[in-house]
Amino acid sequence: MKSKKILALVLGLIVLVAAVCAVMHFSSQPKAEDGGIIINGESVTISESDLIDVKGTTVNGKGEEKQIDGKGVLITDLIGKDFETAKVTASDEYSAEITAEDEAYLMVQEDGSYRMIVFGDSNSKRDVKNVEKIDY
Amino acid sequence: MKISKLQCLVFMALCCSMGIFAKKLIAPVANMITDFLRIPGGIGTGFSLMFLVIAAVFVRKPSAAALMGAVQSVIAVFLGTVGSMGALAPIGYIIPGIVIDTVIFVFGKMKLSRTEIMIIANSLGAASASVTANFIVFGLRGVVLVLYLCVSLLFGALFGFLGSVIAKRLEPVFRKGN
Repeated sequence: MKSKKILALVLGLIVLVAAVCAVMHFSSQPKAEDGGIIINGESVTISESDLIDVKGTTVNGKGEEKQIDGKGVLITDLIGKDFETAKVTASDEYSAEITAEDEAYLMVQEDGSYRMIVFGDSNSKRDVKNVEKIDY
Repeated sequence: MKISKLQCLVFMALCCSMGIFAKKLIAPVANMITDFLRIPGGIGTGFSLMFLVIAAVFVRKPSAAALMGAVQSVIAVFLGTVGSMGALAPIGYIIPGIVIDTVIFVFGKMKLSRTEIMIIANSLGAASASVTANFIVFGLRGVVLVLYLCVSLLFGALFGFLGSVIAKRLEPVFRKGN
């Protein structure tokens, strides 16, 4: 009986910590304007004129090829090439790093969100969905 | 509860397979929750590990969960479902198995009920999987890491409890087999 109480107490404590962390996590997230992303802490809007036709082939970890055909923007066109590595982060905090030499695009998805694809990779580890911010 | 070695192996193999595919089964719902919380995962693994915990408490061999984790990693590598962990995926499968075995061994000596042991084993197993994934893939830090681990612990505990309910239902089947 005592062990059940201790277990319930520990779980209750974890719920409390999770709730506090969730509030802190939500409040610390910078908000991008519609159709934009956060670059180095500032909201940047990507306009229609920034978008270009992107076509190519990506390969996932299983070796399967996927044809890419859509609108996107080359990340180095957005942030320039004056960086060693840039960290591209999704809304769920999944992130990947790119270098100025990478052929990395932000592709516009049907729901208006951005997805990073990197041509030339042998797997899809740097396939970042719902890109929200880029820091370099 | 005594069951034959063959029954043990068949049950363990079944739980291995179920563990791998169960994760995909609840992925849509799990993703909804993790997207809302803005964390990269931590729910599906708890459900997947539940099957390892169920098998481990029935089989009662010192390294049953670690062995099942190793088998799962081999299956995952051959099926190409290693995800973002890539070649390091076996670590992500084996470490939770070792944690589950350790928890069952340690807490089993403390006269806790099976339900409590399963809740703790699944919870800590899920958290260890999250720590491993964070170390290999995500690299989260600070508040978001704590939130990610708390979600893993909580859903691990929830699925551990669910596992104990399933284990209760399975017990007569194992008894009948003897």
